[in-house]
Amino acid sequence: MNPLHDQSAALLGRPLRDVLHVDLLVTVPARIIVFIVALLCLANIAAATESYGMPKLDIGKGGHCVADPQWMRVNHMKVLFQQRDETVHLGIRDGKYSLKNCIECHASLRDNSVIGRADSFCEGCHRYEAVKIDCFECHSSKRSTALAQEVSK
Amino acid sequence: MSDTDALIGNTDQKRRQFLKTSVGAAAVAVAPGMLLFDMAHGKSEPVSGKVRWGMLIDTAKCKDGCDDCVKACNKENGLSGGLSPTDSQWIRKVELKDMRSGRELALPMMCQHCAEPPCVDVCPTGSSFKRADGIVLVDKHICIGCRYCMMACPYKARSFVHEPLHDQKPDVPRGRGTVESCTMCVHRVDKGEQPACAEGCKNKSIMFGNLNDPESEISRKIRTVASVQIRADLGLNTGIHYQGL
Repeated sequence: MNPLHDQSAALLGRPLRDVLHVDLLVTVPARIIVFIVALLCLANIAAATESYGMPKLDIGKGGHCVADPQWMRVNHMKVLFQQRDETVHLGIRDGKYSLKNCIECHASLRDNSVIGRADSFCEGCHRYEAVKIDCFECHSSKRSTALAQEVSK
Repeated sequence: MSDTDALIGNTDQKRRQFLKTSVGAAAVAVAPGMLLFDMAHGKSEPVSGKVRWGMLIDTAKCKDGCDDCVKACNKENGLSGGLSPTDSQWIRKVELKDMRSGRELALPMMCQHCAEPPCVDVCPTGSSFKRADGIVLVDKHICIGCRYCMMACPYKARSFVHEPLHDQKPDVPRGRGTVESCTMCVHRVDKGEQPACAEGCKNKSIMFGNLNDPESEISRKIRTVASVQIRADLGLNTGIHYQGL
């Protein structure tokens, strides 16, 4: 039998006053309790957005990202824009936010691509959010080291 | 100070000296390696106007019927080489014949990387631009495909991408609806390499280098042999010079 189940059964058997510790309400100001309950709810919501309903992605090699993943989800387009202007106009090619860098780590190990499937690293999230990606009309979506190997073969 | 103390002091001095010299030697040994590493991985410094990249093309060495530079360019940049009539062309071989004397010559023709580029003047979005080191490029992120630059270019150096493209090179993004031309293999130049056409020319007809450095091989040659810029009358100060025209 499930131990949790056990506990709830036991609680149900006891008077409601005991289960809710109503005497606490008398000693601790109600405001603080409301605050604590609200905090718990918020924590729950945060945890839910992390796991529930998020697209499952094939993150390729993965590993340590150049920035915090949650931050990258929100800001990747801004840093990519900044990087692209620096690269095209100023010739700075070793920036950590380069599209090539993203693809190098996050292209699927199965097809070396970040687009094309429902769980592809870029396409997975972009389908979920219904945001069109323009990048790969011009840029290669394939891992460059894999392409180099193909050529040498 | 006793004799022993003096001896110890002396030894310390010598050790310090030894450490200093060895650190110096190590720095000398490591520095070129680090420079090479920097070159291979691309610089984090913005390109500067102290450099102006250019080419000197010796038409006497350029052989009739040879198109190795064109092939090298197509391979490097993922161009089809003209399978369909609307496909892009970044470099082409031009063959000339003087009807009176019968003198023939051939030369490769591409973006001349002008110091005063007309394509940049006419671009309504600022997409056509000249990099600080003299390389003329299209920022395809902001190109709207109006093709004014194609009309303004006296060298017919630019192409418009009409059809959707697939399997572009990771270093050479290209896409439909934008104008493109020779980039002087900017992705290779930034790594410290030569453009593909210069490397691919087996007759060593194309010399690539820094026009702003008076000691570079290309500057010395331009100083000593007769060379011309094509349509010099337009005053565009092209980065590509031709010898033996």
